[in-house]
Amino acid sequence: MTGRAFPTRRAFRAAVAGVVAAVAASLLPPGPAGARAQFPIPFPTSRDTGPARTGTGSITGRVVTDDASARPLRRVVVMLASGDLRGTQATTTDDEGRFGFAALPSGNYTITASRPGFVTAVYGSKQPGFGLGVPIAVFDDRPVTGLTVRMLPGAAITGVVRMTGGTPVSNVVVRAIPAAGQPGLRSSSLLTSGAGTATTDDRGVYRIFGLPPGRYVVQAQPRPAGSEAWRRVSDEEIRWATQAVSARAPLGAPVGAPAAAASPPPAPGAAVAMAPVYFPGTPDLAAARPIELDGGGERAGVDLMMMTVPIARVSGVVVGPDGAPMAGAQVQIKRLDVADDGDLIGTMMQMFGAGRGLTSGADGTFSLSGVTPGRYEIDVRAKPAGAKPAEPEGGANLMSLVMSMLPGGNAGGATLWGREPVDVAGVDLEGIAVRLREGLVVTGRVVVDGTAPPPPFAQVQVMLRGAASGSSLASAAASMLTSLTGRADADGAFSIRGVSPGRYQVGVLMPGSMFGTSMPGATWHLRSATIDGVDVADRPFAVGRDGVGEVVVTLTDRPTALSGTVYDQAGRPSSAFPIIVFSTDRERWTPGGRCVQQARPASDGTFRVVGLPPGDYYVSAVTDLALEDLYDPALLDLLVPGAIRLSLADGEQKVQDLKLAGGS
Amino acid sequence: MILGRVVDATTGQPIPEAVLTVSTSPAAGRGAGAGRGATPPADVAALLARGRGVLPTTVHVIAGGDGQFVFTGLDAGNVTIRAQAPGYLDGTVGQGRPTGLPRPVALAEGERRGGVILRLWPYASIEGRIVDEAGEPAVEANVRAYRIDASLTGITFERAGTARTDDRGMYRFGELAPGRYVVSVPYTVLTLPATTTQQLLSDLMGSGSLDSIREMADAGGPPMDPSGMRVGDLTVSAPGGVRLPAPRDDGRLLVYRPLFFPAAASIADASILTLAAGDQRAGVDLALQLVESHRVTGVVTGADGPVRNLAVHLESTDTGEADGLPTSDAATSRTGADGRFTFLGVPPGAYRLRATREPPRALPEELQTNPMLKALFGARPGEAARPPRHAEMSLQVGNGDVDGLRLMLEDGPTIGGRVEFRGSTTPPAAKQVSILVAPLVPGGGRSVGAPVNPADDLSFTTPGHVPGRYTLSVFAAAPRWTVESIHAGGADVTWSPFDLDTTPITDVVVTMTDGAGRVSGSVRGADGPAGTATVLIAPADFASHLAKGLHPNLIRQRPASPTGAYEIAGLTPGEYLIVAIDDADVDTAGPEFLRSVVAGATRIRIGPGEARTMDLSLTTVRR
Repeated sequence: MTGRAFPTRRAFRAAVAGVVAAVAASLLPPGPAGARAQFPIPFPTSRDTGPARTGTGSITGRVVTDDASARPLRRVVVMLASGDLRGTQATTTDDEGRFGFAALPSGNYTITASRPGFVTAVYGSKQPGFGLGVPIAVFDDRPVTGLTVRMLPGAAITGVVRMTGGTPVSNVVVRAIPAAGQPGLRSSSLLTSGAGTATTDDRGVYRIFGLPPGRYVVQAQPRPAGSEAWRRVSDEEIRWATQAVSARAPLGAPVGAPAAAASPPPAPGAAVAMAPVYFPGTPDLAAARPIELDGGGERAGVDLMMMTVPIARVSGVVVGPDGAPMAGAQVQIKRLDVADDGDLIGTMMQMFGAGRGLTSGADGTFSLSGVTPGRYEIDVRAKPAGAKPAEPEGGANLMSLVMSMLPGGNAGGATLWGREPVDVAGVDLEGIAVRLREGLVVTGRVVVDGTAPPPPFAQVQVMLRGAASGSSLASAAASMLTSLTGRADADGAFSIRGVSPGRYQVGVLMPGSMFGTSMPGATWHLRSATIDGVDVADRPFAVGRDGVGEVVVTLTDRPTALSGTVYDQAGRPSSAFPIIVFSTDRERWTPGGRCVQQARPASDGTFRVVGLPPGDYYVSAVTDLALEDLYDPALLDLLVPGAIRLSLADGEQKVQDLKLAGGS
Repeated sequence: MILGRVVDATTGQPIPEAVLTVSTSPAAGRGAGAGRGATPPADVAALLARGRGVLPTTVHVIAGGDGQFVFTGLDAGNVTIRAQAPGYLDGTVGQGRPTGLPRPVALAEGERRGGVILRLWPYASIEGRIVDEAGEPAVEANVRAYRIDASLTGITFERAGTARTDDRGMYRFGELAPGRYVVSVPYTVLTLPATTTQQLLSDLMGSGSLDSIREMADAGGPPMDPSGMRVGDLTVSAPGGVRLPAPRDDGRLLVYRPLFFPAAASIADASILTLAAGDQRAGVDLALQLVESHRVTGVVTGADGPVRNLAVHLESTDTGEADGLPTSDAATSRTGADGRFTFLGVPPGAYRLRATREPPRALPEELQTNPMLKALFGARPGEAARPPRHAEMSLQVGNGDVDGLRLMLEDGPTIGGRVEFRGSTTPPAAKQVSILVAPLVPGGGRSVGAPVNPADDLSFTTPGHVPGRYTLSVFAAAPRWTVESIHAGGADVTWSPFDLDTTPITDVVVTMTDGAGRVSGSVRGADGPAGTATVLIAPADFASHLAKGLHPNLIRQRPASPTGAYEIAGLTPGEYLIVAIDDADVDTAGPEFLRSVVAGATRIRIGPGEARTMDLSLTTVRR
């Protein structure tokens, strides 16, 4: 009866966090290891699961403080990662800051150094705490010695959080969010679990430490609004109550009997919720005053005052396609006007009102209280009457299971949908009717083009993923939460039910491929998804009220490959700068998509990008780059004039060398 | 209507801006239902409301700057008001001590009650700084506070909190109830096979199979630790602790040993910090010490050969277990594909080596509709009710490595027997009877299994348990029926714990009777009805049961209503000791306390089906 209801907010939050982690993992292009150092689940770049190889290469070096003293740092965990991840291992520096790795097979390695309280350092990175490192080429019998990794002490921000009356507030989560316009810094902390956050103690005191240099916006995030609200006792109430109590009952009446007469109590004040507040005291991200941090040190006195906002109840009824009230529908309230501060989990939590969902009652009614002011959409999904609950199908893998529990998806046979925008401004909204419609059915077929044994179609799921609303990874991940899937049958035919009008992209979930981005080493890759010959994999397309034509998903065993060598002005191979490959078609600059990719040349200057869809591309070297900026149209536009333009045909293996121009 | 004020219990001063929550339960003339946590937590309330299409919001009231609050429009009944304020323990109206029982306000219809005082006790705090052996701050180290709990059977240490040091090495326990505390820096060394990240990911993402995920869920985590220090084909790390130093040049690993403030290796030598409400104890500093360590290796086998991917625990038995310290791992490892395990970094000492393959946990019913959770955590076919498989052994680590240990997993013994009904009324159906087997562990720890229902012929067998000390409790969803006695292995275990070794117990006889009696009455103090009384009742021969350990049902405790009325139902016919004491006296209940209570107790006999009335006078407790 409760369908896929989440029994507790905590369970919902855990589920969302799980989805976020999985979705975020899927969004990470299989780039070089600089990105990996910042993310707990790296991507394999080879599917060879053979035993770890050993060799005769070695790396030794030292970790020192990044200042004039270059003091050796002990107890630093130094992680070594190789392209295929088989060489991933860690060691700890000794009292002289020394570390070493032996018996390494030849290959390219990246080194990341971390120590609590210090900014994690990627060897060769231009900026402390983030950016891409320089891979170290290791050859048999040629020890790499004398590497120096420099680490900056992290900076700390500390202060007190108080209520408006001056009382400190405990257990408030305070976050240091990298301010906009700092390439790289955002992605460095948002993906690292727990970094940049602290909780206030019994005195309202928080302390965030280990922060890389940069500008930060400090935000205090109260407990999620919705299930809890607050009302302040007014002076009138106290005055009235004091009088009412002292107005004694008539003589002879039993103790505690009602007083003879008293004025009615004053109306209690409106209930309010606590709003997220930014330093120095604004609910508006744009009005926040960033805190500038350089290497190390402590910024004290960053005090915050919690702000309150009025809340309202939003209630109404879910109506089925036949016009009758519909019980048991999944009702979600989603915030539409969330400030995208680049915080993946936070953005998604707010979008979904921190787990605000319920099942419509027996008479189809729903009532959500504690809704803070903002623009929302009430999203409803329901199974048609009499539909059987769907069981997970055979061959399910982790991702398909994750998809199956997305709150806005069609799993479990929920093919009816309804949407209703609401503007909430502190006043109760009643009688909102959400009319459900039968979702559209998008049909299509999977075809294979290649000579390798085709993958079992039962393992192939075709997915309609909501087009991202912005250019950030957070927005892409949020859009993915409303994904719809359909499984191919033995002949490759599939149908995706319950589709509501909107903008989508087509992806594929199968072993070795996530949403269309191939896992390196996979045999089969998504070559294209088209409707009437028009690409729908890499550019968003609209599904109207009348549906769309047949989707043709083509898998290939001959992916494209672009490789080459980067040379500096003197003609020497250079690994100094990452390269970026991006489509000439702006419509394809979709976050997490296939048409914008980066690569870090190895120390011999070579790079390789596999699985780009056929088409025209720009290739450019950039000074440094982080994931969060990869899909920023403004950045890509800047790169176009100096970029090399090239075409990739289907299955083409192209070699394109790059020569760095003057400047840096 | 209620008008009141929130004040600091130690100073009497108003507490500004406390957050208050009110709930009313219908007056029923008894205080029985008003125990701690009588109001369901918000999440449960929300859950209950879901099917009704309503997602409710709890509205808290913020008291004024002078601590005053007003609630209007209240229904008649027992009104519970709870208050939270930063720096104070959460409190409930009528509490007589920091963690005392709540006393709801009995509000009549239309009554306007003034002068309600809600007292909150300030938290005590402990803070300090942790440095490593070189005097550098230990950053992101876990620090633990144990609260000394003088229970009826002796002293135990309860985990009162875990703090993490910041970049200065500073930690703070800011929210401690008054009491006696010990501060410790625990240390656990984790050794895992150096499985590659790549292989794990390939299993997770690529193979299309859920088996590896399920295996991880069973084993409690991924079988790898990418940031662990590589030592040969193993990785070693100290999760949640100060980082391990690199091995010495001779390959020997130095590890931090668990430390108790000020510098003790076991809790017996630790300093006890006695904190009154509001005490702020600073300077509780510790300097970590490195010690030499050794390697412990072995193999785990089961009926089908080597057991792979199983967590193996090395629990320290000489740091305070005998003194009531909850058991914790000195080292954790996991078996490889060949069933072999290695612990690196084991300091000399006495240990228990333990491995348990728990049966799949039952998925709560409300989660079973989630296909993902069901696929990941639901019972596998044919595995529904298998017993835990368990093995343990004691060992001593001296000045060298310990190799070649063998652990053989065996099915945990079952407990079985039958239920008998004795009475004249219709007994409850078999499925209405629940048999609960709970482990008795000092300081808590292992979880209680699901209750078992007898079959239609009233016989029952539990799925199996890890050997240890247990208690049996039986409940019937029928108001008149209660336990008369429980016998197992020739002993009366109605009120006593019993030991379960590797042999199954098959001769449990649970006798249930419809002759449950009750006792009710009122409690009077020197100045009239004792609204702050707590009534304790226990079998008259409870002292002999207590000697074997405290059965949770042995001593029942009920608060009296605000008018001093009490009622205790479900009493098996027999002799009892009953006593009323002031709630403020129910402090840390040590054996001396109990003797003092017993001295003031009244002996009563409850006959079958008898409803006795007994008025009690408040007994003064000698402490």
